[in-house]
Amino acid sequence: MPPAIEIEALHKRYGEQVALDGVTLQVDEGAVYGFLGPNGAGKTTTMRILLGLLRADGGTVRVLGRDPWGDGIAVRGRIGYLPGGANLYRMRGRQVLDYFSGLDTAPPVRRAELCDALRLAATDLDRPVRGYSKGMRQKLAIVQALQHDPDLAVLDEPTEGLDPLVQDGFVAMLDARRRAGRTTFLSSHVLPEVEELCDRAAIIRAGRIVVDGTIDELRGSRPRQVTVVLDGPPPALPGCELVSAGPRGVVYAHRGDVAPLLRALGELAPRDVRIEEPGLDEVFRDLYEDAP
Amino acid sequence: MIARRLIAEHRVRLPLILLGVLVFGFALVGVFAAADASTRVSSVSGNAAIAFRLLGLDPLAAWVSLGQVHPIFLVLSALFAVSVGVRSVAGELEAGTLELTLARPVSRRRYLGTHLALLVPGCALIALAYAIGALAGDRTFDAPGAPLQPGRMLLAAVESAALLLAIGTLAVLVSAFSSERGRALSWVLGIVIGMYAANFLLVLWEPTRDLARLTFFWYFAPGAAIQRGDVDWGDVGVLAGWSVAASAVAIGHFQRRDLV
Repeated sequence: MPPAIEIEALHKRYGEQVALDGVTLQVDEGAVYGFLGPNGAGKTTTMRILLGLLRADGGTVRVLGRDPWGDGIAVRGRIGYLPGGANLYRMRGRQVLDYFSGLDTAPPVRRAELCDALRLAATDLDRPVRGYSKGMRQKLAIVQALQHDPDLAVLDEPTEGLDPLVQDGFVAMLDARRRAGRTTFLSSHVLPEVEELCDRAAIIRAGRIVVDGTIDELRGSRPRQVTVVLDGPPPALPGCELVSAGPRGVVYAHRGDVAPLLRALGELAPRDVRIEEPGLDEVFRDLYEDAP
Repeated sequence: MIARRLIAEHRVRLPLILLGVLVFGFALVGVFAAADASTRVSSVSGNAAIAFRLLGLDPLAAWVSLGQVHPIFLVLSALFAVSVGVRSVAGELEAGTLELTLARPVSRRRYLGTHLALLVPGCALIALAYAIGALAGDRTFDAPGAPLQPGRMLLAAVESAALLLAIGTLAVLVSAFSSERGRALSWVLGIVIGMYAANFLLVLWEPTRDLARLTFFWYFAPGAAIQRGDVDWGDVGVLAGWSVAASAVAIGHFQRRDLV
């Protein structure tokens, strides 16, 4: 099965400014792939190249097995796109959905289901979009992107402006897409959401991919935090590096196998022990603190 | 779908423009008739009537011809062409709606072609509205001079439509090269107003007279059509040729450019 997205050594400049500097990544069919990075890192540029809205200056891009610039119509017929901070035409909600549906090659088979999941009522769809709140506009934009059940969804900050209940509906929707073998490529700043939703993720910084892997691999690139509360001076522990020692305990950074550590802790008989897995947000922050 | 959306977007603006142009044509004849009947020489229109007679021109036909190069008519009638053209790329790009439409299986040629195709009937309707307004005015008021001839008014409308289409395709061309609506609009207005002024000023001095050929307005002379039924089809062809060339360049560039 060919990958849904294949990007190799992708370069893009805006005048003197380098937007993408050799981006390489691959998204397997049926995966939910998180694309992370701060503002201006190159996420939106990459997404626009995937849709054939921008032309790459160098490198190769294949989307669903085709070149999105040269064969854009065929590619876009199988994609659903949600731009960041989507602006919609000044129509009624239903007219917006009908307009985009009319441009799609596939019928809007998922519209009703999506509206339910995102709590978008029929009365809301009958109102003019200019009276919508930011969250309502975002819901409508998500529906227009996914209503035709595209093989590949490219979603830029999809949960921006959504309340927690609606976010749950969105998560369930992406899960259903994954189960149906549909691919989703999404950018987000909400890292717990990426951890929950995505099979793999890449972090882009200044136009370069700095990390790409499964969520577990990304977490594994950072040490666990081990806090030990015991009497006496901080002991040396296997795989651990001392971070700090204070009245609330001794904090270590631990890498590798936990079995030797647990055995050593058992012999020490501490009053309390906490072992915390690193979150994606820590990985993200560390990478950005290391940024030049 | 794109055409339907464009028509829906202009469902209020275009009828208002048509009504405005129609009322302008109607009122122009009314003003001329009123002035000629009552004050004769005490108004611009009264003086104009005398001047036209001295020049051997039919007064009403000459007056209605002047109306077609009047700034009010030109501004009102060009409003549609400029707004469609400027919004087509730069306006939609700035609003963020273009990427949503072009993220669909829609070719850029089809997208821009739809905008260009909409300009043709829109400009033709606006040009016809002036002719209908003037003819209705002539039927309503007792204007001096021979009655306006519908066939000749139609020929003048063809010339007007060609001019409006040239302005509209200029707006599409500028828009295709731009990403900001305001900047595109400024360029279009600057070029059109510059052409209008240059067409008057350049002909005043013999060495610069031929430079006036670089303006759209050199090729726009509806007076001959309204007064004598003569149309310089070469001039209409130049305006139409510009429209075709500008459309081709706009589409060609739009197909290659980045949408940022």
